[in-house]
Amino acid sequence: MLGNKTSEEETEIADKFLKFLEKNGDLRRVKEIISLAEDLFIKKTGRRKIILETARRVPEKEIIEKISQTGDIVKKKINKDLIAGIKIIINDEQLDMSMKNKLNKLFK
Amino acid sequence: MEEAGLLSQLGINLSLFLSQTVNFFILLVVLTFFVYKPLIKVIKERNKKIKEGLDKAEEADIRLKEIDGIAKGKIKEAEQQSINMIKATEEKAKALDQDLTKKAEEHQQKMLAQIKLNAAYAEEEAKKEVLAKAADLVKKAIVKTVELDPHAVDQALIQKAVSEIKNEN
Repeated sequence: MLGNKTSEEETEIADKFLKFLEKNGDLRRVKEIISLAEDLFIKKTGRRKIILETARRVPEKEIIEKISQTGDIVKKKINKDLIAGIKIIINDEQLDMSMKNKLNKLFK
Repeated sequence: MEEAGLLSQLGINLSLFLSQTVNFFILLVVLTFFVYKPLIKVIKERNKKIKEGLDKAEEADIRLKEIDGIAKGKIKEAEQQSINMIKATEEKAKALDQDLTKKAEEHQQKMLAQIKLNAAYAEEEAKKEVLAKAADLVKKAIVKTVELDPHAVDQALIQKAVSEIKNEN
């Protein structure tokens, strides 16, 4: 996101950004702002945001290697309601391969 | 003189006979004018009155018969009117009875339809409830089965998801 900046420069930019939010009274919305900034960054750079949602911890490394490309931002989430399987969200598209979804489809 | 001798032989005194004849005629005239004619007149008047009375009685009888005929006609007419009224009332009562019967039948049909509808709805609801309970039981059984070896199920589903994404790309 910050291009070819050093870690010191990154920390400085982040500090300035936080101070700016504090000054404007938007510190409470920092998560929302960061998420929007992230989305903007993803759109701007043509990268993908991948969310892997599972019912329990699974070896994600192999999955990530198989489905992600260089520069993709991958997030992991544990959701016990899924029962088993995985829900993969790539940008706005979703592939729900969870047991919960399968059961819902079966008993709809 | 011979005639006088004959009358005296028969014992008739001519002068007495003549006087009696004259007396008779006088009496006849008197009786005719003073008794017979008034009597005849009275009788005629009486007959006339009787005839008038009889005529009037006959006329009254005719009128009475006419009145009787009119009364009979009126009674017949009244009877006919009564019969017509009774018939009309009977027809109205019949029509009303038919109308009420029809309405009652329609109401009954509606009630039956409503009861059938309610029964069908209740049956449908019961079916849904049973199906929901069965589905819930099956879901719980599947979840329990998954919980026996969740990693195997995870692996199978993840592999499927990954291969689908790969195919899309």
